[in-house]
Amino acid sequence: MAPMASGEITNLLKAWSSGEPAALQRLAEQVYPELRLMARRYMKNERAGHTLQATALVHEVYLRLVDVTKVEWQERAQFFAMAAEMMRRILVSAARARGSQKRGGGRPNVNIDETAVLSPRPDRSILAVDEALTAFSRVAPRQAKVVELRYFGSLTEEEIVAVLDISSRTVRRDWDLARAWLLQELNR
Amino acid sequence: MTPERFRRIEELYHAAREGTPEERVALLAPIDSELRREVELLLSKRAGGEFLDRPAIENAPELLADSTVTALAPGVFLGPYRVESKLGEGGMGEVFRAVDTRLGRAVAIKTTHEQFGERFEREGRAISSLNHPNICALYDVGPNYLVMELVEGETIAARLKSGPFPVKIALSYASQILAALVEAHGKGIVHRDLKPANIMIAKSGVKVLDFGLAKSGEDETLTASSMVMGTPAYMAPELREGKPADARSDIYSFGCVLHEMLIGIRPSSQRKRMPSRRLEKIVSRCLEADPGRRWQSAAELEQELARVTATNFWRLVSAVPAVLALCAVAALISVAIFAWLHHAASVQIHSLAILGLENRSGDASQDYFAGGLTNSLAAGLARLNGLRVIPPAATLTYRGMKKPLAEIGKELNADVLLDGTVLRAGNRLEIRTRLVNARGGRELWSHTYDSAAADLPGSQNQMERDIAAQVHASAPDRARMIDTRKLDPRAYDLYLRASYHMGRLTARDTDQAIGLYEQAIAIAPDFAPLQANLASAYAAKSFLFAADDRECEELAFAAIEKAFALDPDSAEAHLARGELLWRPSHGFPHRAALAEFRLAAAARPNLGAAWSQIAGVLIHVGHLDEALVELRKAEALNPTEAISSGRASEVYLFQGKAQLSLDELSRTPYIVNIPIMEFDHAWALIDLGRFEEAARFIGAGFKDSKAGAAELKHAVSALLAARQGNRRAAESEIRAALAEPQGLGQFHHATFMIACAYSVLGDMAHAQEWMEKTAANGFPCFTLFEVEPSLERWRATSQGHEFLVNLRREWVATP
Repeated sequence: MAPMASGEITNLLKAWSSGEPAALQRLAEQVYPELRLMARRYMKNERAGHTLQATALVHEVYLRLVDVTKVEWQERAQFFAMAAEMMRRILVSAARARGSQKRGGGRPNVNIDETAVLSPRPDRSILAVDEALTAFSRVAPRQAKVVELRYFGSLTEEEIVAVLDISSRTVRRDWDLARAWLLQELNR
Repeated sequence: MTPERFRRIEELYHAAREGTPEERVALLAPIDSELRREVELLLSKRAGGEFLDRPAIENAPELLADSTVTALAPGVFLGPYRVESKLGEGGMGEVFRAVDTRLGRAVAIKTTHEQFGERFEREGRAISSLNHPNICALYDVGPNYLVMELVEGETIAARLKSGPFPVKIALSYASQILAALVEAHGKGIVHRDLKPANIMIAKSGVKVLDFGLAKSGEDETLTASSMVMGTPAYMAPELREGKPADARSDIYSFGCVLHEMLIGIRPSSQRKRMPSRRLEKIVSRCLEADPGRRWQSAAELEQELARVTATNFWRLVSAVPAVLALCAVAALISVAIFAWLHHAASVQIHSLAILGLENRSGDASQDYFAGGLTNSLAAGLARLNGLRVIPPAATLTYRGMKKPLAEIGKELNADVLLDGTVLRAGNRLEIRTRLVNARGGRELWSHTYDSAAADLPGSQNQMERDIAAQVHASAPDRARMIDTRKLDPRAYDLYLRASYHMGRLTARDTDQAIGLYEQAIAIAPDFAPLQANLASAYAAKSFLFAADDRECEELAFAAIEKAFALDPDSAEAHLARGELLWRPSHGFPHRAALAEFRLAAAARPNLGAAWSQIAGVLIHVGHLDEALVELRKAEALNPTEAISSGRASEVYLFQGKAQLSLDELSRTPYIVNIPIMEFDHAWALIDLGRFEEAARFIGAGFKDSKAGAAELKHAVSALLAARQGNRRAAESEIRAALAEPQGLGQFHHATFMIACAYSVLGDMAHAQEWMEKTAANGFPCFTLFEVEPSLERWRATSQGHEFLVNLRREWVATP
């Protein structure tokens, strides 16, 4: 698929924001690959020893795709919410893929640079958090959303405030409770 | 859970979290118990949640990366281990042969596929608590690999391919497998997957491998799992039904293995004759479907099998016609004696307990001489690789006790016992020693050394060599023993007396040891161990009693340099150097000290003190599980050594398991005189809410006032007062603690306690200040800080939280 000009993407975002659900599908088609690309690049740099701010990731995608001069703050917030959801999907499906590759009887792989760790287990934690979060969202949808934005979307507190339109105190309290809740579920 | 109930929990949670402890109690008291429990669970801060504080993408550094990874293959390093070749592959993972480059020792590395992570950790924990010649030893645990003893040989499964075993061999293997099970079951560990493929026949005897499915009896979480693991053909019927395993499940599997060894096929409805009725009975009782009808313990079964082994011989004799019987008996007896001797000569001696040499002179002033000679003999023998020497300190309780030797041997888990007498009269010296087989109490060897007193070092050296030959030490091992023959007998005498005082750890004894070492060195300045031990004595003095005495450190430093000049590989000198480095005046350089202790352990793997010191450092930097592995090694060298099990109790305390910590302490009878252990004991009682007991304990303890006891006493009293809500008393105890000299080695434990007290009192600024000082002064034990209940309120502050996140980042990699 040919990449769209940022003007078109901006228009899609505005259309979706003003209540045209069909625009979302086309918007997602544009954003998802870009986000995935950025995530991979992030990993690569991280492995090369350049520490990047994960929180800048979604923001950077936003800057690359959207003509920021034409966007209202609500539209920006919606974009961030969508991107966080996508990041969650990207990470979860990568963790799944990795898991099945392992179960397929692959050899334990060792990265030459990190010889002390044969194969890390974080993908398991990503899958477990994803699962626990889905269950949690049934009783506490807003609190679960805070976790999705912060943990999977790497959004900052101010961005979460904007996306959910709640006070920063509420964001902190929601996070605190959700964190305790999830840990308890994960340790069960 | 309904959204309404969640809202109720949420409301209570925030109200409780944001209120004072008193308000919290008042708020939660009237709530129904189930709801309250849920809120309290949420309020109790859990460790291990840091990964949630980082974005998920930071937790998955290679999840989405291009695959530039290579397989674990020959030449690749895994930490200090260099992979050499692949040995095998199974359902759980792969096994590689590798070399531990620090020790030059060949090891086996077992890796696992990712999804077995947790089970793998359990495996590590289970085996590391086992130490037995018939159980494959665990050396190290990585994130998802285990480093284990390299056992070379063939499995029983492979051997069975060429048919059943001769009865005698089958019974010998069976008794060794049972010995392994007795050991494991005694520790509450069930194998769960015993089968011929998991039993190796090595040169040294049978080794049971793969406690991969083993579970500790206390670990109930596994029982809940409905997943059935194990190999069906050898699995007890109750396991196939998904019921929990116990020792009797292993007895069933053992029955299958014995059956197959004896007649070459697995048990089935198809009957085939056993070699004897008695064996038939033994095996079928193992194979009872109802666990209640089987042998109830491996020990019981072991005894029964031993009886069969003994009577097999006479059954053969009685089968011979009467006329020939007499000749046959004579011949058979001589064959038996020959066989016994042969057996005795090839008996595998892995562990030797030194019961001590008794002073036979009737002159009590000579006690030190017998004691010192015993210690020194122990130290000499401890240099043998592959021989676990249980030193005299560990056997003290048995002295003068009229207990059968076989029982002592069993309790100490020793193969042979060494005892004897010493008589020094005028300038004559007579030493009698003997080795006794711990199983059965038979004497294996004895000798009397009679010499001029002046030739004592020569006698001792000859004695060590003779014993080494008896236990089949290899030639290079024998060469490693200290050659004391060149040591002047007067110096040697002083050295023995000094070693005795060093072991006692009080201020007065340490000074006496220093004096004696110095006198010995004045006579024999060229003996490296003397110099190194003098350094250790000075280092101990300045660490524990004399922080301001800079001369102590300088003298220690000089002695270490001399020791290295005399012997560049001296294990004792590396140990002393590590001890000298790791102290407040040098800012506790954890990594450098570890490097020295590891060199000491590499130079002499059975120097228990080296492993114990490695563990000490690991504990301080928060690597508690790893410390436990090292402590198990120290304990294996000396099962009842006070400082190792004292440190093990500290590990449990730091992991938030106060009760387990007390249990471990209670197994360590004479530890209560060491102030830091008394401090830990009181703190564990406080964590458990047993305040009155803690107050009594503090009141009665801390008697060695020179050993940095006062600040520890005041600090733990401060926590107690704070927990009891007595702010004034807590603050006054804190002031008293801080008025004590601050340069002693254990002062950071006191400052940690002060931070805890402030956290309980709600004074977060001070709590933060003292936590920062504690970490900066050699005690960055982030894993403790994350779970200690008294720090709960401090952890909830953003400053505290951030501090912990950073501290974990700094120390999470194993130093």
